[in-house]
Amino acid sequence: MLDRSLPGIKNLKHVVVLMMENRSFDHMLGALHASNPAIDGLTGHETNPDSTGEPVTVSDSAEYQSQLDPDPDHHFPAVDLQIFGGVTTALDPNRQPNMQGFVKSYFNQQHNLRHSRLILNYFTPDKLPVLTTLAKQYAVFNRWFSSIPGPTLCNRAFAHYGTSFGQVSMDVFYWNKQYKSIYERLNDAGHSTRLYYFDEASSSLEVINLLKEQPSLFGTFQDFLTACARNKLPEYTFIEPNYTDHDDPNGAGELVACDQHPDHDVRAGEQFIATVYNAIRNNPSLWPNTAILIVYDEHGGIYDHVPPPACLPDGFVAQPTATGTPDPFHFDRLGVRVPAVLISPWVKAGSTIDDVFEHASIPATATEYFLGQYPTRSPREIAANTFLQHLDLSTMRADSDCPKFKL
Amino acid sequence: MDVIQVPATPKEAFNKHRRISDLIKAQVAHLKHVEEKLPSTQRAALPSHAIVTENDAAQYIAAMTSFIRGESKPAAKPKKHVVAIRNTAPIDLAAAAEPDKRPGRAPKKHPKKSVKKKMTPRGRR
Repeated sequence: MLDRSLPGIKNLKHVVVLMMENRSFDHMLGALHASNPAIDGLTGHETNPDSTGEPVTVSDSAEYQSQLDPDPDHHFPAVDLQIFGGVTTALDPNRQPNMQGFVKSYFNQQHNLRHSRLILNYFTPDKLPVLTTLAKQYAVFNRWFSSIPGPTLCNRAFAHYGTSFGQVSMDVFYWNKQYKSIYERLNDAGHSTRLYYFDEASSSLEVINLLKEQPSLFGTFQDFLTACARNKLPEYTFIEPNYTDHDDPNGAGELVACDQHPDHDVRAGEQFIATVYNAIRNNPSLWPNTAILIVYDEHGGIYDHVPPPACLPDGFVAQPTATGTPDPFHFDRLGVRVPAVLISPWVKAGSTIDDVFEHASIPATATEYFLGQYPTRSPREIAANTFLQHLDLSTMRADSDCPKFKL
Repeated sequence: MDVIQVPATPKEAFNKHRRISDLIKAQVAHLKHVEEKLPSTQRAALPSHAIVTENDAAQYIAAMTSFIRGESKPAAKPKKHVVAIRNTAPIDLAAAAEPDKRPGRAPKKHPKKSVKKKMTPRGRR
């Protein structure tokens, strides 16, 4: 239960979620363990066997672009291999989530031994000054997992609905929709909410239900910046980055993808994160009363060392024809861990959060804060931890104590 | 605390000719799914070019998104098809519409050059 007597909660008016693409926790933040052992990152000694059985050690040589091409497989069977090391059925007692199949999985795409080892690469903090600064200066979630050991769209569905309605793939069409999206819930109760996609050419990944049926929920990233500048930010905001390199439809030039999905340049995502942060951080009318969550939808096939835990079943079952594995999936295990950072001047610098979170925690948190009791939600969302109680400082941090970015 | 300088993204990072990922294929497939439900008169006014590269996808996604959001009428059908910039076959989309057999609608089999498509201007809100 959220403690509404906390000063940070009393002041809170806006929750902003920025969901990036396809990077694992260790890949982006794992190196921070060296400077802050409370961050559950890498020791530098973690290994995975390659396809010959030789152990490969993690390496701090991740590059911004061109290293993870082709895009590492992160569909359900590949992620199952990454997590369970190739033991595919629960009938085998050796099936344990040991995180030993990442190199094998990447090898399967090109049969190139040398290239397959790149999946263990991670960034040093100096290469990611925005994300790592935010992680060090606010709160890092040590246990934020993607909701499904699978690809983007089913995972993003959890952020919108608290479930993927039984889907473990990209074919998320919601024909049997039984739970309202967080946006519908908020709208019905008279709260303001928006999804901001980057532009019309990038658009939303939530096409079938929300964009098609409720287009008024959406705005562009420029609309988001304008809303911040005019102090018109909705109470709940979800931001989608630019998913493609494309020419601006209005002739404004080249627009580089900033989602950080391999093989897009990670620096563009750093700039995008900083732009979102600056729009709120530099507005004294918003900064004291806004909480920002930066989170990634799934790991993108990239190595992480923490085995995903079991979780409450979702009430749906994906059959082997859908999972591509011998066993049905009961939505009773989370996907691979992803970076997640909670930002607010009411969050203590250097915080780490050890409770387990997943993307159902996003609508769960917005529902708890803005709506209170709301029973018609998925079992996973009802069970999910919420995160606003970590705005727990008794006094707001001084302006000089909170980082600023120059673009 | 010092202001932190964010590194710029180099110009060479931009590659609109990159083949689309599974993610963008899925996004396009979902939009094709929406397009399939439209009356043929409206569908005829939407772009029908082969989608191989990120820029190909972006042009189609932009037209469909603006149409769905009702911000513009369907884009005027371009006189010339936008063709694949790389000499590769169009990517098969799982939920794509049935092949359109109307005369003049088939994508070129051997694209030779890039043709810049005129997009109908769409007002930003």
